[in-house]
Amino acid sequence: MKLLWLEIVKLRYQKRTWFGLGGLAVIPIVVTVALYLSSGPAEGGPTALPFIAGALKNGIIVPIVSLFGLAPFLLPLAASMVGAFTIAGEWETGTLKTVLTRPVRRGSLLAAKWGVAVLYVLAALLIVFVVSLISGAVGFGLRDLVTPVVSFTVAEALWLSFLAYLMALAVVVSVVSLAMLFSTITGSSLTAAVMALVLVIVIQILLSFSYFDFLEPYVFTSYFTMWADLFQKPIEWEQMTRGLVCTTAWSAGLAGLAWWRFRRRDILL
Amino acid sequence: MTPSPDITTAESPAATRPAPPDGHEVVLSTHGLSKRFGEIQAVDGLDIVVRRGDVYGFLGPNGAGKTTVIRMILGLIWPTEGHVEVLGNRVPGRREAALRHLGGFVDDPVFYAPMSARRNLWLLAEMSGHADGDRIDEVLEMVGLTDRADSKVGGFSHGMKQRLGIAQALLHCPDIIVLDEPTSGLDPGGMKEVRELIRQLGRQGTTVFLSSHLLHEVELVCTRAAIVKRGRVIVEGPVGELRPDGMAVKVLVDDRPRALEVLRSLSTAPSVAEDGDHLIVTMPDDDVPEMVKSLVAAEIGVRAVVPAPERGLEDVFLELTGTDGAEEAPVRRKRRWKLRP
Repeated sequence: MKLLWLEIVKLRYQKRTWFGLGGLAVIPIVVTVALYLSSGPAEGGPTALPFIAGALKNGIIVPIVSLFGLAPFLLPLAASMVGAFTIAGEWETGTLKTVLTRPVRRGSLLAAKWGVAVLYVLAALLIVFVVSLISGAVGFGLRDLVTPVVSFTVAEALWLSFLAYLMALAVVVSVVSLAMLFSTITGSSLTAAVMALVLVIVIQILLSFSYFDFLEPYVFTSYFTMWADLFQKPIEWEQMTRGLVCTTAWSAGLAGLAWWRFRRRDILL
Repeated sequence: MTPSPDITTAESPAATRPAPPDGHEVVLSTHGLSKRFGEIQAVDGLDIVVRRGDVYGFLGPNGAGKTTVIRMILGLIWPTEGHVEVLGNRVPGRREAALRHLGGFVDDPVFYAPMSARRNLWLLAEMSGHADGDRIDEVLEMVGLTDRADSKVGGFSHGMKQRLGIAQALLHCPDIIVLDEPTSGLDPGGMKEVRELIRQLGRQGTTVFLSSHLLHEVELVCTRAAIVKRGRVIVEGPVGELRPDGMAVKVLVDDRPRALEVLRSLSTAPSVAEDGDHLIVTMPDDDVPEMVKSLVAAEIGVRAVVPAPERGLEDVFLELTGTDGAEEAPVRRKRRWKLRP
């Protein structure tokens, strides 16, 4: 726990910490402006989601549209970078060896760094959620979400949106763990981030071919937008349960591999 | 064989244990320590013994494997064979326990650049247990960084970082301080300061293990030293005895390994070095006949005993570690390994 706190202290001193959070916070504002200027739903985009398509001028949908916009690329990108910086960030500057000459178990250090990475992504998601609500409320006001398909009160919609963000976190943690594994293998944060991101994208491309359909339930990249099932009455839990189990298994497995790799890694720099 | 360290004293806290003036307790030892990087044998069956109170110089040319040994002592890399023992704790097996008794750095000390010196020390002290503000002030004072304690380390000069490195090594009052070329890259003034600091630590009874490629430095600050070349110890002993003050003779024998054994068991304890086919034995003139007698008594054929020209330690060092073209290759290849992240 102490190591976790010390990692947070270190994170506070990094400029990229604040740039990352700030950058993500801009997105809901952009989304609000875009919604304000748009006249109707666009084919294939988040505005075409059946449960919001009929209510585009309502602030309550901004969190959902923002999350949908972030899910396929920016969230994995942020997660890759955060995961890649865990070990490699300190490895590159040389402070890793300074830390490891202290009586700290390597496993504990890795666990603390993983924990801080997850907390960081959680903080980023919460910031996006809060900024979305504020900018949505300012732009359109918050009203009940009523569409031809389904309708929710403001409280229901808020609660479901919040759950959706937590569901998104589950998938993102898998990406963090993947990037952390590459971080312990390559020792270079840039390489690790790119490798993780490329892998996520390649899997998504492969899954768009019918030949690989059988893989779909088993890879975490299938679940970036699993939370969309929340906005149904009644809620369709089956796919999301599978998604939570799958992403948790991936996160645990990848983090475990990272630990196994890092445990006896020679630290030469 | 090295005497095994006293386990009962090993577990008591550093502060309560007085340093015996004769320093017979073994605090740090390596046992057949070896490290291979691909084809390069960086460290090759290294055995050294550091006793409490020693200021131990680990002397060798660049690329002799000094830094690799220090990395293994600090548990940053895993030995291919053998192990390090720190007050009864094997490294890497009981790395964390050993690190409680150790402080030090490898290569150049690196800190968190955006943080102040004090913040860095606080962070590192927290990792060793609990940060104590007074102790942090104390070590900053010792290395003369009190004035800059609250400046960002990013703006520090090389010499200041080096001194901060020593400060963090002292932070948790460890039994042994391990410094990797602590004066490298410093200007003459900085070198003098750091050496004075190490001497002072030695006088206070702190055990110091430092690597250096500067013979003169080891002579200035160390009490004992080992000269290493290609990951092996060539000569080991008190610094005063490394310098051939008696007569140096070249001895040519039939069976060098056995002759070495015999010479090392002599009561006069001459310093012996290998030099090509010869053994260079340094001892008072009067002991030479006795030495030859004991070799003959051990049925070792003595082919020649000739006086070696008068030499200083510098010559011994250069001769022992001599860097002809063939020796350069591993140095360069080792560099390549270092550059790999």
